[in-house]
Amino acid sequence: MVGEEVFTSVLTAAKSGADWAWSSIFNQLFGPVTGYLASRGAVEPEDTASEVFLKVARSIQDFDGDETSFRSWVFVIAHRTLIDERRQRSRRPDQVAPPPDEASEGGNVEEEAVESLVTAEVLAAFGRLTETQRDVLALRMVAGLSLEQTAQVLGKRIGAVKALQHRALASLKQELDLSHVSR
Amino acid sequence: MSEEDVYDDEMFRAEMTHRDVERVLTGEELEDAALTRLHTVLTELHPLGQTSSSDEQMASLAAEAAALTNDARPESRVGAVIDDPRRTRPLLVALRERLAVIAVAFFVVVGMTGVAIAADAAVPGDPLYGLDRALEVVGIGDGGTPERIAEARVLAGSGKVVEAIDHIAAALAASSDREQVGGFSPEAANATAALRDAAASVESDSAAPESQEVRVAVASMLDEMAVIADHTDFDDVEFGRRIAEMARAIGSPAGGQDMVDRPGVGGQDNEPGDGAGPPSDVPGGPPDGAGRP
Repeated sequence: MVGEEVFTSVLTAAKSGADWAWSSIFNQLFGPVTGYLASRGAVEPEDTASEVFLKVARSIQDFDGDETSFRSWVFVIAHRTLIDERRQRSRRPDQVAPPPDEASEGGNVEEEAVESLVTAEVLAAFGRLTETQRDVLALRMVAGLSLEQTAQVLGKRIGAVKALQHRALASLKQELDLSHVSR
Repeated sequence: MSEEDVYDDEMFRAEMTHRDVERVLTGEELEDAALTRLHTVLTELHPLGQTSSSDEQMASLAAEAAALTNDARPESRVGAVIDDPRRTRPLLVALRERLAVIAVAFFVVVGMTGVAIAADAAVPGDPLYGLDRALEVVGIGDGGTPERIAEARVLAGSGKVVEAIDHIAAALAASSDREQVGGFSPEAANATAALRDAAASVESDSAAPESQEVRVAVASMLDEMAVIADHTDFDDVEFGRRIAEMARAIGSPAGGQDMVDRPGVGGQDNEPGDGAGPPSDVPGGPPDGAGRP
């Protein structure tokens, strides 16, 4: 967060095509967007993040809002881009997603993308959540979005996101408790 | 049972309040050992959000974004140069505007009211369809959702079932382009994907386009869409959701029989109590109002 006054200046400059403004936006958001994409299974998270920001650049003239809204808006685009990428991947026979049984064991693509940063225990527990639950946790914990922003990105009601994150944490808690018992 | 009832019930069973959940996610005011451990585990995800790229890459991207922004500015749209496929949208806008201007000039000079009327009734594949769309751009002739549905019904009525489904999908996608991320609902994005899948499914089965069940299902979908479109538009949440349901039924192995038998079937993978969002395995999109606080 850079503060509303600074953000307004950055947004205005970005709309007029100033390099420095775009650098500022990238400094704030490129990492979280790339992290979100990596945690949600993007094959080339940095490339996809670049695509996201080029879409942001093409549409920024239509954006009007504060810094919080801007962050949500960028993640809306990231989420849509990710879904488009998954759809395209699933339609290409040579780049088929892992079989459902493998995905349910922890999601191989996601595992490859994040395994260097996250322990196997967390990865396995995270991988057993539903897709939507993982979306919610990734947006909250990796992207750093609030409950309201997460609801906005996923196009869901706040109550629905509350329920999703509650179920996700309950599942994780159970998973981790079971892990201890089994040791 | 309402969404909130389900939620409350789950909270009771799990012995974790919403406040606990927020504490775990934010790490604030954590006292319970199990919740603290849960928070510690989740913080392992934090470094993912701190992924960094090289300064050169960032500078290059910033320059590219700045250039694209300049291209997308209204005053620089007309006269755009075809040099980058990623810049096609401003270019298409410019071309569409030019086409519209030419169409208007043609209309005014020749005074061919009859042509405009004929064009308005054209459907995709007709010679006058391009003129119809161009005239719509400048407000001459009917346009929008009802027009697209009416065109699809004509196509379906003449046996072009796949083309009819594709036509609705294209209209939805065009609506998405027009709205960008400012107002297009995820349900509408789902509906677009479901329609395209349905068209692909029908097309892949050589017998399906000739199937009476498929034809009835498509006709039913279009009839219902026409009724709904009288009082709403493609970016309406419920409309999008209903279209997606019907499209999935058409694309199902039963060839639309599901839809005819059980209207309202859909939402394959939604969470219990999640009454608002798209199924998790189908594309989503921006919520209404994103970017327009």
